[in-house]
Amino acid sequence: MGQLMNMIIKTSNYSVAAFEYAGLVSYSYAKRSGLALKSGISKMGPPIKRVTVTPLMYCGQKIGGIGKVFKRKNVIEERLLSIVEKLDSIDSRLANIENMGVSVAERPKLVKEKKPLNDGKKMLLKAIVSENILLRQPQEGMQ
Amino acid sequence: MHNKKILNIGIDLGTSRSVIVCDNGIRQAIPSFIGYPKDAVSQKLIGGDVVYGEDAIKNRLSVHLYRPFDKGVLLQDKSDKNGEEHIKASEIARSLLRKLIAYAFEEEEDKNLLIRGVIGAPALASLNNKKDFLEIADGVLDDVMIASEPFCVAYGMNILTNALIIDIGAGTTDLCRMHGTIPGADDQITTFKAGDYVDKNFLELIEKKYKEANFTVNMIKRFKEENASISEQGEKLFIELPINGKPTSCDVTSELREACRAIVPDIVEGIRKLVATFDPEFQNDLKQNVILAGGGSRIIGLHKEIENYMKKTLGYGKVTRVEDSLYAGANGALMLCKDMPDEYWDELKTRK
Repeated sequence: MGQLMNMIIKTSNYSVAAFEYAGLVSYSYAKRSGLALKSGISKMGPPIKRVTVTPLMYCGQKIGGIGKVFKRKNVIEERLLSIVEKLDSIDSRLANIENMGVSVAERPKLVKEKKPLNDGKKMLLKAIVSENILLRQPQEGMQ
Repeated sequence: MHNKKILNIGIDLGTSRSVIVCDNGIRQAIPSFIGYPKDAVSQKLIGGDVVYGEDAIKNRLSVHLYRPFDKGVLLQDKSDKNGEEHIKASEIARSLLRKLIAYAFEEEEDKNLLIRGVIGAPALASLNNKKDFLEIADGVLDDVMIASEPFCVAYGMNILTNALIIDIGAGTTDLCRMHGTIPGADDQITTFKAGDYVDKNFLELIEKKYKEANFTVNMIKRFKEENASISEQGEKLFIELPINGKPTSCDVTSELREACRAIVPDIVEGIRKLVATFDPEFQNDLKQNVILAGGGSRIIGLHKEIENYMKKTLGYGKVTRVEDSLYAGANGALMLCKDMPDEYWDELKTRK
């Protein structure tokens, strides 16, 4: 009986040891593979991030920009509307002024002023006028 | 006093070309030809009752073609100065002037303008000839003055003293001595050896050389205008003329040179006379200031030929050509028109 008990205790001890060893080996494998996976992922990470995350970030920015553009268009439209309103008000004021009997002034014309002539040129021009007066005189005394 | 806007126009009614220059920037030159359709068919072809300038020349087979001026003045009957031909020429010239004035109005918004014009006349045109120009302008221009053509050239260039202007047109060559006053009869010489004389000579010389060639004066006139030269150097000139119906290239180098040279003796003789009778103290200044204007001034080598002659006979001579030969007379007439004070124009009106 004593021998049987010893054999059972030894067997159970061996079994525990076997289990413990198997557990340790499994842990060792798991840990090694985990480390390998970690180092692999740490090397692969930045390129993958560059390829996947950066475009997404860019799209995000653009989508935000488009939003801004739409916002700006609204500002331009508002300004245009305000200008149109101002023009309308000027038109109505002009119409009012015209109805009250005040007419819009004509665009001032540039007056071509004759350059002053020196005495010599005046004499010449006067002589031409005299010749032309002679031409207009009746037939009597002509060449 | 008038409140209308004024349009000033310089006008050169030439034997070959009529030119206007306006102070609104318009300038136009058309051949002095008018055509009236021969029948209903030609009327339809030309699209009207009258056709002017290049169009008249182009359609000359289907129209009665008229040139109202001869030798710088209005056509006249040989026997009666105020005969039928003269009256007709006057009407045609007025129509031509109206056409030119219409060009001036093309870009004017305001059609109600006061039109003032100065018309250039040949240097020694008679009083009657000048009166003809007044008659032509009557009803077309509101105010008009007549001035000597070479004087207009000098006025336009602002060379009013110690200069000799030679205006070579189609009908006349005018020589005019400028000495700070209106040139008188002694200061001016007119010869009838001008562009038309060159054409006539050129035609005769070609006829003599190419007896079988079939051509008209219009054909050789255009060729002359493009190639006229009296220079010994230069390339050979060939004109295509139909001989027995076949276009044939004809060498006319020496014929064209000879024809162009035909006008030189009268010009140089005129220069000699005008220089020799000028105040001796100023003769050298006059010799330095010989100016060639008009269509004839474009003859290549002409100014050198005159210079050479002047060196031989007068000891020295400097001849220059105006840049804008076709418009030089009308430009000067325009300047004269613009410079004329209003009171002078009014004075003329009261004397009408």
